[in-house]
Amino acid sequence: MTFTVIANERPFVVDGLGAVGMRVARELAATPDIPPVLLRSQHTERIAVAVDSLGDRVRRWADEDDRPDATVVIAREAAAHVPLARRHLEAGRNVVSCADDPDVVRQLLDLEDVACASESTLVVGAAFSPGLSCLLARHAANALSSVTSVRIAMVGAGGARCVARRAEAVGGVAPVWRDGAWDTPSPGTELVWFPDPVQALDVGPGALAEPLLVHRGLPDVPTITAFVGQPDRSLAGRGAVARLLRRSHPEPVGAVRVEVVGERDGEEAMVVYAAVDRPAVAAAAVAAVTALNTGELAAGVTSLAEVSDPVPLLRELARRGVKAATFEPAT
Amino acid sequence: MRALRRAAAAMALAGLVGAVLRLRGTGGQPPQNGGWRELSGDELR
Repeated sequence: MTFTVIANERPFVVDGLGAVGMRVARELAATPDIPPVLLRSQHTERIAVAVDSLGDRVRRWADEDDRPDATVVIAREAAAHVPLARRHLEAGRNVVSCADDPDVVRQLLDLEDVACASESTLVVGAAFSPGLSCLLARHAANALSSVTSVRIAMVGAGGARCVARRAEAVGGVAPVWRDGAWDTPSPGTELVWFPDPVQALDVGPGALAEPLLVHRGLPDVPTITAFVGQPDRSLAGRGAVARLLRRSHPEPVGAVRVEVVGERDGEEAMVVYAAVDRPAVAAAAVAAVTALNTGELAAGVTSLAEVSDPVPLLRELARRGVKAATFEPAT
Repeated sequence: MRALRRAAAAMALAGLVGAVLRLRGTGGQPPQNGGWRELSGDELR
């Protein structure tokens, strides 16, 4: 699967106008040569806010917009993704899901038959983590001749629902791919070094979807693990979400870090990529750029780790301000 | 009975130390040299 970053005349729908959805609408609205972005939300006042802010580049979705050639970005609460994705796929629309809950991601991956039957595409996990993390993992793997392990770490959260989800992720567990089999992640935390301003943080096992998605793109890699960290203690304990949302700046910077180990030119090599951004901002850019390219994809379910050449997508993200970095040892 | 209490206390203390160590993490290898550099140029072509 390759991406070429182009716009097209297919209508784009943003379903859900939370912290991510509102920014997806903004990203798409800023894209030239596409029709006005159609907005759906249970919160009608949010549609009004978006229209006030983005003008005639967006408008409320109406019944006559129920077209089969649309591409829909689902940025709703986790429970809504599977039924909405199924409905849109059955109607023949391409779907981009920002879901990050491993259980939801697994159910979305199971929609392969639905997508193929309607000749539609469903891109699962097109956000910050998963999403940008998967692209970076693929890009790093492409730099090596063989890969023995992919190790992903992330910190941060976007909007209110994302904060709640991330708090669950910190306390939860999802399988990791170890030595060629699904396994329970090892307990305990370890220090991981992110770029400034995040720097060093303890990360531990958590309910992250990356192993599921990266394994699809890199099925021969023996070990794929993912770790989540807490950027501050406000994400821990009872009432954490409320405390975080009461802060003057509700959206701290987050980060993803991907460490890929393998061989290059017959020698052991390691590639480390990372990105630091406000998670909802980066997630929205990833979702929007992915949506702009779904017309290029084959029918079925896919993830961003399955993009054979992620460079055009990363380049477009960098152009939109979501920039990745590499750790370069001194020589 | 006293031995049992001592054993229970020792286990509790060991658990507490273990919890503190887990909270503090296992360390990790800090980068000794080098640094982060934005991907650009050939890396994005």
